[in-house]
Amino acid sequence: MSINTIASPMTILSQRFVSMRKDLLNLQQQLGTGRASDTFGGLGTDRDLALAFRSNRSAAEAYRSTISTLDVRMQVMQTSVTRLQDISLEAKGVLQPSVYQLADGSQTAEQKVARTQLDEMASLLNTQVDGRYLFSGLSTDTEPVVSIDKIIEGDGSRAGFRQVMSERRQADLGATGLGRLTVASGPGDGVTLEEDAAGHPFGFKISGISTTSSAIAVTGPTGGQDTVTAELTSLPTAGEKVRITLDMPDGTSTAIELTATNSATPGAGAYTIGADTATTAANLQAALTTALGKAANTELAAASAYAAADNFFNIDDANPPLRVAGPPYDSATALVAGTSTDTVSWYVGESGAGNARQTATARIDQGQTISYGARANELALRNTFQNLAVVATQTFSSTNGDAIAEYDAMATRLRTNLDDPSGAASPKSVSVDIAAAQRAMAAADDRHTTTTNYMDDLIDGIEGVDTEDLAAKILTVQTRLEATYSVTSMLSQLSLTNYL
Amino acid sequence: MGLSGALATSLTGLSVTQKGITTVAGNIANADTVGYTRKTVTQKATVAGGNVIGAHQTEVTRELDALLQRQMRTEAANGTYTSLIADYASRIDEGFGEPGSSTSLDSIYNNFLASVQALSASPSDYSAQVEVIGAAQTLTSQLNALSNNIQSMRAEAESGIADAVDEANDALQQIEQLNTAIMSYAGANTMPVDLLDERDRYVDKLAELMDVRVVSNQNSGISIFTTSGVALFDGTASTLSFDEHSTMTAETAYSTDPAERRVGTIRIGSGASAVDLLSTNLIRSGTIAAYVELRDEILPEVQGQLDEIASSMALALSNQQVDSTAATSGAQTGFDIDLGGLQQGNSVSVAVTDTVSGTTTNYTFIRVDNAAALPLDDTATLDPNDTVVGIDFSGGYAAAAAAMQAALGANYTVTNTAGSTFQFLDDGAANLSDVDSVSATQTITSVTGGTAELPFFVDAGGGASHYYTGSFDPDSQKTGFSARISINSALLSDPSLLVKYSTSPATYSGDTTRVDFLADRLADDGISFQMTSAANGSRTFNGSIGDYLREVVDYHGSQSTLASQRAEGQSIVVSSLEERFYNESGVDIDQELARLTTLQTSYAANARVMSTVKEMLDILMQM
Repeated sequence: MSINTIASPMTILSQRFVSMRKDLLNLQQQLGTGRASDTFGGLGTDRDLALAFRSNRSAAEAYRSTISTLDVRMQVMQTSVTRLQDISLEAKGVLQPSVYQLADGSQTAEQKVARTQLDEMASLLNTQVDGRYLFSGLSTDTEPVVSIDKIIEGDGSRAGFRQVMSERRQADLGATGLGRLTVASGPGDGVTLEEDAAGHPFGFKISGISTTSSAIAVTGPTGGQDTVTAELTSLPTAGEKVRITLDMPDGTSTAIELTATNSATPGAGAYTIGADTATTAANLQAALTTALGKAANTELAAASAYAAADNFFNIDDANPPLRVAGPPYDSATALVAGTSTDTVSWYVGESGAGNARQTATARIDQGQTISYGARANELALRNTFQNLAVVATQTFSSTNGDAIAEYDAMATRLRTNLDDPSGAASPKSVSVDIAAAQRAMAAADDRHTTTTNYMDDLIDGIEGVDTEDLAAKILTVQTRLEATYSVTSMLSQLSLTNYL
Repeated sequence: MGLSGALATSLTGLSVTQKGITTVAGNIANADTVGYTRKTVTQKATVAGGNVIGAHQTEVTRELDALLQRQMRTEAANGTYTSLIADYASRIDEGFGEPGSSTSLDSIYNNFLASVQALSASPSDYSAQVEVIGAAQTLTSQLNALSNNIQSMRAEAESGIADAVDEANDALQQIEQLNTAIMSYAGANTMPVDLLDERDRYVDKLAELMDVRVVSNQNSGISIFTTSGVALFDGTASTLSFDEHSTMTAETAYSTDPAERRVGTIRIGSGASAVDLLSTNLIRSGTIAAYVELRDEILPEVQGQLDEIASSMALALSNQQVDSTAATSGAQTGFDIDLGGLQQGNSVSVAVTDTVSGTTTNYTFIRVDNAAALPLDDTATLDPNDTVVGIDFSGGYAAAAAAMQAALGANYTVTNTAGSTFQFLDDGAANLSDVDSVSATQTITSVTGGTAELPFFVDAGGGASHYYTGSFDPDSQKTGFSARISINSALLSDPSLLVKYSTSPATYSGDTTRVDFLADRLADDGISFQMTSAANGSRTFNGSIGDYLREVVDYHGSQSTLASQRAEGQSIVVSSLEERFYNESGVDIDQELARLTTLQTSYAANARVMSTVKEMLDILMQM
C-alpha cells in the first residue's frame, strides 16, 4: 500500500503541472467541441436558464413540426375543396333546362357528365394525406365515401340510391299517378280535391285554392287531410280561372291553373264551359285530373327525386337514411329508417353530434388550438354531391311524353339547389374555415421560428464558447506552462552538487 | 593535559563528525522518501573538571513541527472527504447527460413531450404512436439506468467503507507494533527517530480515513481518538468491523435499529459492548465519513428525486378525480361518493368545519390493505396542512367507513350506504359541524375503460398488481420506483391504445381526447413535488413534471460545482500545508551538502590535529 500524505518537492511540483495541463486540455476540448462543458455542473449558474431555454425550444420545435404536418393537410384540403366548388359551378353550367337529348336511350350527355363529376367528387372527398382521410371526421382511417357504383346501384341486398329514389317516386306519385290526391265530384256541381290520407310525407300537399270567377265557390284547404272544393254555382265566363297551389316533398311548390273556355277542344289547363253547371263541373274535373297527372309526372317526379336524395344523403349517426315503408310503396304513409343491412350508407366516416371542424384539432401554441376537421356529409360538402346524384341517377324514357318537362323540372331544381347566396351550403364555407386556421398557423409558425432562433442564441451564449476568448485563454495557459517548465528545468540544474 | 589528551579529544571530534556524516548521508539518501523527516545531530563539548576533553553527540533529532503535523492531519481528512464527495457529485451530474445532447435526461423528457404533441396532430398515424412509446421507453430506461447507477454508486461506497475499514485496522495494527517498539526505548539516550517517522506515516494514513486526534503520552507513546472521542488506539489497537452488504437497492437503508438496518455499519469492539460508530455520527471526516454520507444521504437523496419524477409521471397519467354528489339524510347534509375504484395508496379528501370554533380540517384518507402499514405518517402527502389517516380497506367497505368515522369523530356520520358508496354527513340540526367537500383520487387500471386516464407507466417490480398507485402496503411503492418504472405492456403490444380509450363504443381513429389529455397532464404546472436537498431539507416544489426534472438536474449541477469548488479549496489548503511541512521537515540537498562540507572540513581539522599530535609525539620519541 502506498502512503503519500506528505508530498516530496517533486510531487508538489508535478501536481501543479498536472493541474495546468488539465486546464489546457479542458480549454482544448472546449475549442474542439465548441461547448463550454460536457456536464450541467460545468455550465455554471446559468444552467437552469439553459435547461429552461432548451425546454422552450423543444416545445417550439414540436409546435413547428405539428404546423408543418398540418400545413400539408390543409393545403390538400384547400385544393380538394376548391375543386369541389368548381364542380358545383360547372354542374350548374352544364345541365341546361330545355336541352334534352337522350344520348343512349335513357340519359342525356349532360347526365353522363354529372356522373363523371360525381365520381370526381367522391374521389376528392376520399382525399387522404399520409393515410389520413381528410373528410371523414374523427375516423381518419376510414375512407368516408363508398364507391359511386354502390351508392347508386346498391350493394348486393343493400339498396342504393336508384332503388330509394324509385320507391320514393312510387310513394309520391301514388297508385293513380295523381300525387296521392283524389279527385271527386261534388259538392253539388263541383269538384273535390283531397289528399289520400292525413299526415304522410308523400305526394302533393294542397296549400290553397283560388278562383277569379264569381260563379265558382271555392273552399279549403281544410283539415289534416287537406281538402279543397270548387262548386259551380252558375256557369263561369270564359277566361275565368281556378288555381290550386300544391306543395311538393322537396319544398318547392307548383300550381294548377284551369281556365274556362268555350272551345269544344280545350288545350292543356282548360275546360269547356258546358251547357249547364253539371257538365261544366264534369269537364273541370276531367281537366283537373289531367293537369294533376301531368304535374305529378313532371314537377312532382323531379321533386320526389330530390326529396329521395335528401332522405338518402342527409345522414349522420343520429339520422340513418330514410326509406319508404313498404312494399307496397304507392300507398305508403311513412318513412322508416334504413338499416345497415338493407340500405347502402354513402358516408361511412364518423358523424357524431359535434361540429365537423372540431373533429380535427391541433395545438399550435400554448393555449392556442385550431380546428380543421371536415366530414363529407356536412351540408357544404354534401349539397352538390346529392344534387348531382339525382341528375346522374335519373333515367328517362323516349316514349314518355312528359319526359322533357320532367327533365326541365330536374334541371331547374339543380340550378336552384346549387345556387347558394348565403354560402353556407357551398364548399367555399369549408374553405373559409380552413383558411382562417391556416392564417393562425402561419402566425404561430412565425412566432415559433422567432422563439427557436432566439432560444438558440441564448443557449449558445450559455453552452457555447467564444473562440477568440478561448484561443486567448489557451495561449495564456500555454505560456504559463512553458514558463514553469523552463524555470523548473533551470532550478533543477541549480544544485550545490554541480558546484562541489 | 598532555598530547595524548589532545589525541583523545580529536578522536571524539572525528567520531562525532563521522556520525554527522552518516546522518547527512541518510538525509540525502532519503531526500525523496515520502514521510521522511530531516534528521539533525546535535553535538556538545565533553567537559571534565572544567576542561574540554572532547565532543560528543547528544542526540539525533527530527525536524518536526508538531502543531503543523496535527493541522495537516485534520486538513488531510477534510481533503479526502471533500474530494471523494466532489468525485461522486460530478458522477451524479454526469449521469444527467451532456447539456443539449440527445442523451441528457431533459432532452429525453422534451422528446417525449414533443412525440405526444406530434401524436396529437396525427393520432391515427402508427409511426407517431410508436414514436411516443419509443420516447417513453427511452425515458423510462434512462430513469432505470440512472437509478441503477445511483445504487451501484452506493454499492461502491459500501465496498469503499469496507476497504477503508480494512486499511484503518491495518494502520492501527502497525501503529500498535511501532508504538510498542518506540516505548521500549524509554530511558535510552537516543530516540528511535526512524520508528517515529514510520509511526507518523501510519497515523497520517489513518487520518486520511477518518478524523483523528493524536495524544502524546509518556515515553513517546501515543493514543489515538476520533475527534468525537472514541478511542481507536490506546496502547492496544481497537478493531473496527464492517458487515458489508453486497446488494444495494433503493429499499436498503441504514437504520440505528439493527433489525431494520439493511446496509453495513462500522462497529468498534466486539460482542455486547460493540458500539455502532454510525448511529451517532462518530466519524465525521475522511474517506469513511465521505462514503457513509454518500451511501446514506447524498445518493438516496438523488434516488428520492428520481423516484419522485417517476412517481409523478405515472400518477399524472393514471389518476382520475372522483367527484361527490350532495346528499342529505333528515337534517344532516353532506356528500355521497363512490369509492369503488379506490386503489391502495389512493386518497379521499374530506374537508370538515367545526362550526363552533370555525376551524376547517382537511382529512386525507389513504387506502391501505394491510394493517401493518398503519398508522401512516403525515408526510405521506405533500400537503403540510392536511391530516393523513390511513384507512384499512381489507375488512370491506363498511369497516373502512367505520375507520373514517372514528377519525372524523362523533360530530360526523360516515356510512357505507350501498355497494361502494360512502356517505359523509354533518351532525344536522345540532349544527356543530359541516362537511365542506368530499373528493377522491383513483388510479385507473384499465387502458380501454373509456377514460382518458390510463396506466401508461407501470411498476415492473410490483407483485400481483403491477400498477403504480403510490401504495403504502406495507412499504412505500414510491421508494425505488424509478428503477422499476416501465411502459404498460398493453401499450407496447398495441400502440394504438394511446388513442383508443374505449372499445365500446370504439374510439375513432382521429379522436385526440386521450392524446390531448396526456399532453395536458404532462404540461400541467400545478403539481406538487417533494424536493429533498441536503442544503435545504425537504421542501415542496410546485410546477410541471418537466419543471421538477429540470430543477433536479440544475440542483445536481450546482451541487457538483459546489463540491468541486470545496474540494479544490481544500486541496489548496492541504498542498500549502504539505509545502510548509516539507520546508520544515523535508531534506534540502543544498543544505545537506553545505553541512557535509562543514563536516568534511571539521573531519580534516580533527585529523590534522591528530597528525600534528603524532608529529609532536614523534619529535618527542626522537629526542
